[in-house]
Amino acid sequence: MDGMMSGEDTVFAVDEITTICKDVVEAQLKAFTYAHSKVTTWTSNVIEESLKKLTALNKPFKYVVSCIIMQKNGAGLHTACSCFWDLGTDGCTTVRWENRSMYCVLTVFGMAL
Amino acid sequence: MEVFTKKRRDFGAPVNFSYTEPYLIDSLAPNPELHKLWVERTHRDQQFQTSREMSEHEVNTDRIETISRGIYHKEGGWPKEIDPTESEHVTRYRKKIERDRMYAAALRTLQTTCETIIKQNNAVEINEKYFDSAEESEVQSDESDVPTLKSLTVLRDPNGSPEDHDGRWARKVVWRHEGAQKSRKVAISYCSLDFDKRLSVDIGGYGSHNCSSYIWDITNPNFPEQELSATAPITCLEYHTKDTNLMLGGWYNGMLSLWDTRKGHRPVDTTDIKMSHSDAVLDLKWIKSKSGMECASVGADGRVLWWDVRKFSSPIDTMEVRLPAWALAGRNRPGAKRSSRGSARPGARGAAGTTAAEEKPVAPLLGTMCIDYDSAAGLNKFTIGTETGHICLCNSKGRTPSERISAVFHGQHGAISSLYRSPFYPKFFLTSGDWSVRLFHEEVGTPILASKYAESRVVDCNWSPVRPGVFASAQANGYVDIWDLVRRTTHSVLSTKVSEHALTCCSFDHSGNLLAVGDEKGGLTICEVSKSLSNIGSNEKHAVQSVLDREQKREKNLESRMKESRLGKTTAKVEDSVVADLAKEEEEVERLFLESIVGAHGSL
Amino acid sequence: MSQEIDEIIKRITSHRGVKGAIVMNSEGIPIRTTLEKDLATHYAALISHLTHEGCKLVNSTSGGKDDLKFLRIRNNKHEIMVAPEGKYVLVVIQEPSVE
Repeated sequence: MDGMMSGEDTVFAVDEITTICKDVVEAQLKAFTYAHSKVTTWTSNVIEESLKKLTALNKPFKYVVSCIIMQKNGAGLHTACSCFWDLGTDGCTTVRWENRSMYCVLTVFGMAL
Repeated sequence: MEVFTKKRRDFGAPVNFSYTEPYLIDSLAPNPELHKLWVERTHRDQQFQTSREMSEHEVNTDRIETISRGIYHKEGGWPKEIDPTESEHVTRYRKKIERDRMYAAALRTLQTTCETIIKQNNAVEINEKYFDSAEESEVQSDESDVPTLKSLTVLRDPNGSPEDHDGRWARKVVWRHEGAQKSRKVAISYCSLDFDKRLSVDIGGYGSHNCSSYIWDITNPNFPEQELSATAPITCLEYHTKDTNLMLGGWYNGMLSLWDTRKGHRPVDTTDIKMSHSDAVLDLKWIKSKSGMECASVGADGRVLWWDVRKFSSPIDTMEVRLPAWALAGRNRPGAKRSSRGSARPGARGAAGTTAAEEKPVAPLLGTMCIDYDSAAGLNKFTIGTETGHICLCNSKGRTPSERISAVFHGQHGAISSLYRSPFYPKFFLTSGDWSVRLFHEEVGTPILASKYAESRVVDCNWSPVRPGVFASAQANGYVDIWDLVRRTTHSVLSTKVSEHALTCCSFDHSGNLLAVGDEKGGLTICEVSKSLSNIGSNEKHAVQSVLDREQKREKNLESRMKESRLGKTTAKVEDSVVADLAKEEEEVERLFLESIVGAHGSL
Repeated sequence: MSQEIDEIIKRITSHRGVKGAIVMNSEGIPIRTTLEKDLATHYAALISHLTHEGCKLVNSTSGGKDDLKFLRIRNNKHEIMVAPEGKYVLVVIQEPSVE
């Protein structure tokens, strides 16, 4: 089966992608404190940056990136997801990052082609 | 019927999808401690404005220098073969035309049309102006209420760089008098007197500096009409009172020179430097004399020199400006009890005789800022203003220096920047200095009118030559004030900013229509004053006279009251008690005032 | 013929207030005048220009169907009457306010 490439390339490399995402979030948000008017820009920056880095890996994957930024005011948050996909190749990873004023939760889903 | 076939391998890899268990992305527990810190903001500040946003811009057009040239074309239109200078040719040509039949015919028709018009013109004046006088008077009454100043042109020091307008000071400006007409020519002496530049001049000599001053035609602000060259900066200029071709100038190195504008830009004659002032000449005046060729100059070295301009090798006379003993003792004039000048003179002799011993410690020389001479006030009388703020009324006839100074007033707090006798009332004179302008009468020791302190130094003042009650004063913040004693004596009637830079001088032209104002960057602004400031009212001379007389009497009465009360202190007890009461009251007020201050401080 | 012309000029100048008359051709050459030579030349030179401009104006606004017949210039002292006809122009200077 020519489409079924097996090996390193086709597996969602959780560790590698987690580090990439962490770096991105860190770089984009570290300097700021939560400000409502800025959040839109921040989320799009984070998503764009991380997608850029992911595509730079040159792997046959589709990516879905979702970003949640929440003000730290003591409220609780619970978020979960479920997928219907190929367990062998596809995967997802989550990065949680926080500073004094906010949380950022970045989730990346990767689906092999 | 169509059949499609597609191999299995072209469908791609088989899918092997399965459901995953719910995957917990993140879970944050509520944090009540943080929640406690959460404060709802009840108010919110936000600014907005409904008006449109605007901005202000200022644009000034560049100065373009233009030159007008013209060609006078005297005669033309002649056919090629005819030379208009040959009369024979011309007459022959004319004859030829006159023989033309068309010519006569044309003329005949023209005659009728022209005659009709000529007759019509003679029958009725179709362009007659009605209500001529009414219109004029209306215009006048409109204008008479609003004094205005309109700047006409700016003359810049040709030696300054044009970009930043950084020229030398226009230290003094004099108008050429041309009868009752508006003057067109103005002479400006350019000479920087600020300290740092002065220092560099002192060290480096004048070599690198251009020392020329210029005469301008105000209708041509691009180029000066004539140069007046000198080897040191020219500090002051004065046109000869009769012959406007003669120009007298004082130099920064103490010399004087005479130019004849007909004989080019070099001075005709200069004084001998050894006999001249030992410091800058600061002011000079022509003196009325038989020859009409005498002048007096004053300088920072504290001397007054009299010259005959035909013989510049040595001065005719000199006088040192020192305060006499009676002035040092705080009196206005020798024999202080005498108030009128006529009786003061013999008194002065007596005082000089008796106080000779007192005068032994020589008072210091006083640098002299300005001199005024008006033959109407007295042929030998002149007035000088010193750097120490004293005004000395002098008489050039006196033999000893102390006789020459007949009265000393405390004019201003600082140097007297200018001093002018009124052209209408020679006994009154105007001084400027510190931050005010003051009007004096020569028999009263205190100013009869004094302006409020201005925001900035007053650098010059000048009487209007046509309106008895009008004078202008120039300030260091660029404002020119115009005063009209007929309207009010407390404030100026007009205050206008003329220049961005500090002003140095102002001067009315001889028709009273134009005012020239010089600044420290070499600019000279020519302003036109409104009709109301240059047209004399019907009995204005009388009205101003009465205002001045009233103020003078008031001041005189005050003076005598002061004296009386001083005398009264020693003699009359009644008065004494009144004075004592007053003093007590004053003390009480002062105490209360101090208390209130202390109280205020305490609460702070 | 020249007698007749003399007659015409004389008649015009004999009117009240008339200062002088100039007959000139369209080139601006004074042919006959009662004024001083220099003054006449001056007037002629300047007026020929003005007349020319005036003719141009009338011609162009009427589409070439009309001609300038008369020009009156009024100043404070005088009235200058300019009457062009063909190649020639008659100029009369009058001081109308003289009683």
